[in-house]
Amino acid sequence: MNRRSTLAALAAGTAMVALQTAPAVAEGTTAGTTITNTATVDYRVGGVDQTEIVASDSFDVDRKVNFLVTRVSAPTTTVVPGQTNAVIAFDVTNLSNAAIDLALAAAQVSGDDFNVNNVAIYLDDGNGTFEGTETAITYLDEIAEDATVRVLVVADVALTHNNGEIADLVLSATAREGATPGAAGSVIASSSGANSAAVETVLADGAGADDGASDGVFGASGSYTVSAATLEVTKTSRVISDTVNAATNPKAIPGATIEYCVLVDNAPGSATATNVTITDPLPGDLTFDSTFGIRINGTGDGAGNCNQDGTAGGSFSAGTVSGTLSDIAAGEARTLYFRATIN
Amino acid sequence: MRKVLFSVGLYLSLGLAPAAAQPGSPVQLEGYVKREQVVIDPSGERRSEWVDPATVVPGDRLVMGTRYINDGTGVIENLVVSNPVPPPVRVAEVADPAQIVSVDGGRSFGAFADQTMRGADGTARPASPADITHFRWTIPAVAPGGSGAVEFLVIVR
Repeated sequence: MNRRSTLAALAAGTAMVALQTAPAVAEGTTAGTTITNTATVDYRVGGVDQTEIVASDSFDVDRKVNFLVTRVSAPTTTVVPGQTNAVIAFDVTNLSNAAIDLALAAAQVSGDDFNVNNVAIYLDDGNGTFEGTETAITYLDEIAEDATVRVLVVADVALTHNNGEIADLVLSATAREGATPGAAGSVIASSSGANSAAVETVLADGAGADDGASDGVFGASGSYTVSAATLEVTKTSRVISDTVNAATNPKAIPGATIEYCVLVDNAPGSATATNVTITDPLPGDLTFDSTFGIRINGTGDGAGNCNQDGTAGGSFSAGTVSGTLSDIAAGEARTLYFRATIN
Repeated sequence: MRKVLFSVGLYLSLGLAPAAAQPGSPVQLEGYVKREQVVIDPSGERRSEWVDPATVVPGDRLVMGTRYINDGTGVIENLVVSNPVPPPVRVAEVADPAQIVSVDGGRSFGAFADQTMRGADGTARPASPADITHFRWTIPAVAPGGSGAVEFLVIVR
């Protein structure tokens, strides 16, 4: 702080208002603003009014560096295995009474379930979503007082991750000098030691996700949660009838009819599985029962067999049974079943 | 807030000269600013100390004051100190409801407790400390060698 005390005799009527400085309309009075307090004194001696005198004291407002990173996205961003460009949006706000640069870094947290890949930070183009046309950034340049900038943390999720796995990360901003447009300035530190004539710096940022207060760093956390289908496939067969016993305790003898049941089960809490396609090459010793055909989207009986509630669908071609099931929600099972005779 | 501090002879007895010579005037003035620094003493109690500010940033609480000393030979009568509140600060609190202030840019003065402000919807409300634009103090007499100070408490916007 630069402090000056002045003492001056002024003729009455001198405009003291001119000594005042206009207030800044920002978060706080802009750094470097001079605040002048002026007292005017009138008095009498021996009953006679004397010349008005004035005392004033001036100082410059120092720089208070404070900023926030807040997550805009939901507490966790739901991703599916293999997803690319999964976005967590953050707002970065400069609460300082001066323009500063803010260096940005997205760090993966250890101790979570997995790490995402290809983490990058982009400057949002105004719509809060990532289209691939945004500019990748490592710092925010010359953020004005009270300005808020939205950034997108974008990452890829490997195909190998399972339902419910979580990847945590922290987006941290570090205060940098805003002196040079187009380049990240040097790291800002609190002024130490005795008062000087220059505008000094006080770091006043709060404690973020993994940083302390007044350290020039503030971070906010975000996470990706994998939502995957957890499919289990069971295939069973049973003898429906044979040429000797008909349907009464039939045996798997040549000429007997076999029913194959393919049961696809999606575990509770999983993502809905879509586009589930089953292909089943028929062994050469069997002949496909085209009269019965293929039934799909039935239910299981709980013992691994298919209830007779499917609808006709699927196809048989070149010795292979295939069919596409409807969407399988969490906790649901769907079936595909068909019949064949033993040669 | 201490409205007026009379400490007759204090500065002279401490050997402190008035801040600067005021040619032709028996009244010497000195403006000063102190910043509040909250300290926690060994017993764990919080208390404020007023220090010479090394740094001043938005949100800091400051005392702005003016000391006066009569180093003439005659009694100073009817010493009136008028002090506009600098725009980058707002008054934090007023301890004495009878403190003479202006809330209209110095056009009218009166006791703080009597001041009202008119809202955008036309309704009146009691003035708050932040509405104060000017302070005024009147000291009836200052004996030769006598001194005192007037000050007010503000927060940097």
